[in-house]
Amino acid sequence: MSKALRVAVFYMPIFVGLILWELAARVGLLNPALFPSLGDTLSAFVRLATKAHLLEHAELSVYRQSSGFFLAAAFGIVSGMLMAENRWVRNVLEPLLRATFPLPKSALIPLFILWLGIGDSAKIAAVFLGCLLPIVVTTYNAARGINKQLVWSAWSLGTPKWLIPWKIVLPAALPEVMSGLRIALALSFTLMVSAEFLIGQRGLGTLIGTLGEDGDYAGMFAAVLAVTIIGFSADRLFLWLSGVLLRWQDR
Amino acid sequence: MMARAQFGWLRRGFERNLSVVVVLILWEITTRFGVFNNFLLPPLSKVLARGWLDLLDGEIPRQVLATGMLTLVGFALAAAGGVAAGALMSMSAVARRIMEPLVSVAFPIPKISFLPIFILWFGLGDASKIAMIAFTCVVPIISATFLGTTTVDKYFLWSAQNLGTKRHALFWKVIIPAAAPQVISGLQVAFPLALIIAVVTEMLTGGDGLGGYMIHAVRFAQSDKVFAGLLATLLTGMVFIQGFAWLRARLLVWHAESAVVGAT
Amino acid sequence: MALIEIDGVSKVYALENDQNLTAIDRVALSITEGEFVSIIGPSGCGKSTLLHMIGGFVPCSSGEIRVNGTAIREPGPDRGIVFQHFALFPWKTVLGNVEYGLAERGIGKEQRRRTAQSFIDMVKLNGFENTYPSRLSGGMQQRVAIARMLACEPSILLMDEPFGALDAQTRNIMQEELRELWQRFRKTVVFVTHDVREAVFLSQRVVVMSARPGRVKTIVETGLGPGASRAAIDEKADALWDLLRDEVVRSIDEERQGL
Repeated sequence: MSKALRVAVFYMPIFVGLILWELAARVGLLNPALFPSLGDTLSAFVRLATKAHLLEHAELSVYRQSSGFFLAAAFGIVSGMLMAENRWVRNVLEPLLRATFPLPKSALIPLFILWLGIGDSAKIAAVFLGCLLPIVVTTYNAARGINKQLVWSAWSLGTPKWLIPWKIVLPAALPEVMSGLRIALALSFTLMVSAEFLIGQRGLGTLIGTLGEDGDYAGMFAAVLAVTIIGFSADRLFLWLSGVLLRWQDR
Repeated sequence: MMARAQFGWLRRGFERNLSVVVVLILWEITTRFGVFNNFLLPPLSKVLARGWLDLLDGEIPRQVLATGMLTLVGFALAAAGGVAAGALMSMSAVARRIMEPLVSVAFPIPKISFLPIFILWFGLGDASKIAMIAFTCVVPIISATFLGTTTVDKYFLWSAQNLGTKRHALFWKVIIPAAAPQVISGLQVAFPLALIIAVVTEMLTGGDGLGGYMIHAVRFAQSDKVFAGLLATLLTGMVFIQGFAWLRARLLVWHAESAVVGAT
Repeated sequence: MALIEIDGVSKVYALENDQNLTAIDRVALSITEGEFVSIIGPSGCGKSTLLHMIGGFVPCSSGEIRVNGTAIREPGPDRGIVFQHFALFPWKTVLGNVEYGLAERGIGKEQRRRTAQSFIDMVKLNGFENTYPSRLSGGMQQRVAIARMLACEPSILLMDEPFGALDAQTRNIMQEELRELWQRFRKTVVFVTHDVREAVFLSQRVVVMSARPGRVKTIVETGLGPGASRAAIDEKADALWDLLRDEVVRSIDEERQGL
């Protein structure tokens, strides 16, 4: 069976579910005021896309989410690696990480409103800080957990000590780092939506809220659908990228 | 010798948290000297004072209780439903066929985006918040339970059968205990998540709880309250996490313990 | 002239409860060029630690190790090392791994490839140049590790229980091939193992270490040529085992007391 067909078969229960949704609506099982039909949702989707700048809202949301995510990835991986390599960095950062670990980073959103106002920076900051901690921790654990003898082998084969973290530790830790990044990616979407819900100023999260307030429930469902599709696609894209980067792994 | 051991423990605890202590001290000193805008970053002492006041007049305890209740109820629902669903998936091929794609899709999507839908259905009160918490937390719990119950080492099962356990009893006698560490790990991951969602939904719907407390503080430009709320949330989170870790240690006293991801 | 001088070397670890653990206690040993020396001893006797110190990965707490008269401070390609669990870079192919040390030296691509290929052929892995380590068996991975080490043409080969992770059949083959290789190139080899027979089969001298703290208990000349009969090897191995046995029992007793 070809790969595409296998994927379609795997997701079939979801397609069946969608069909059941539409049938339930048609048959009158669903209160259209509270639960629009699939058909209504889809036509609302088209309407939003063509008339209500759905694409622009989506672009803005993705811009905020990606900026925060990539910043967190860059800072997080470097910090995690530094923590694993250098005792002083570790002694300074580890207690801070442990102390802030129990704090839900979304709780910082009100603080960011206070500090950064209601523009893009508050949302990007929320995504950045929320994703930073898990990435640092995963990278640190991954770098610590690699086989020390890989380092010794490279060292004895002539690699200078300062080069070893980037040449040896990072590739060896990469599988675990990518797993952590995947989780952080999902988190980045959640934080972006939460920030937009709370702060507003366009974007898909804001759109969902506005449509709800206006009573356009089919539109609201459509916007939720849009966010869901984007989040899901980003995850699958990331998986594919992981597969490419880690093709040396034993599958 | 005893005394030295005791102080050694204290000394090590201090050394381990040195940078936190330093940050707190710096916070107080820099704000006192006006290095930072005192509105945006109120001095630590002011925050603690505000926190103490609100603690005494019962406001903070009330909010902690409200948030705590939401967290626990939502989590309990997710745990019960999630473990049952995960176990069902491992036992029934049909259940697995139906649920696997659902879980696979549910994982990466920002489930918080469904909150307005839940509010539409359940109103602005606690029901929609609890629904959101349960919805979000059930996914990792199902996944962990399914994984734990399906990857039980076959040698455990074969040994049990060899020693006389009948097939139908295998589930309760072998699979559940063997899967327990992984299931509890899943619960342990979902628990802080429940607190996060509780706080976020409170912020979004205004009203009660720590989330509501902080949002009101922003609206009324009371920055010291915002920080006091953050501290209260941080402490609540710590208590919950420690409590769960303690519970895990009691339940899994037999297990060669491996650390929970992230909670170094 | 001794190539490697281990001069009164000790290794002490500081433990958490303010106590000290002496892993190695004043070991002195001279190894001449071209010798094949094995170090055997019970678990925990510090034989691997000693090897790691020669390699320069672990500093001596006291004493000194000299190679060619100069004290060792750091690892380097003059002392190649092979580990029990191969330590191949999983993200590089077989060729990538074997070429690695050559690339670090700045050797050009064409030359590198040719040199690496010759060593891959030498360990009988031609055809697997573009395979990733995760797809290879244990024995094959160890051959890659050996080729990687040899490609840098080290004057000293350090081998840390290299066949310990392989099944008995593969181990036998690898022992034979190693001996063949050594007879071709006559490099200095320091070989750590817990397998007495393996030590006798491969080496000219066997160093027996005591249970922790590790000291040199005896050094035995095997006096066996390459054509030695199985009986001769077994006889020598049995004699060595008697020397070793007491130390092994002592280390097990120590472990039991610790529990």
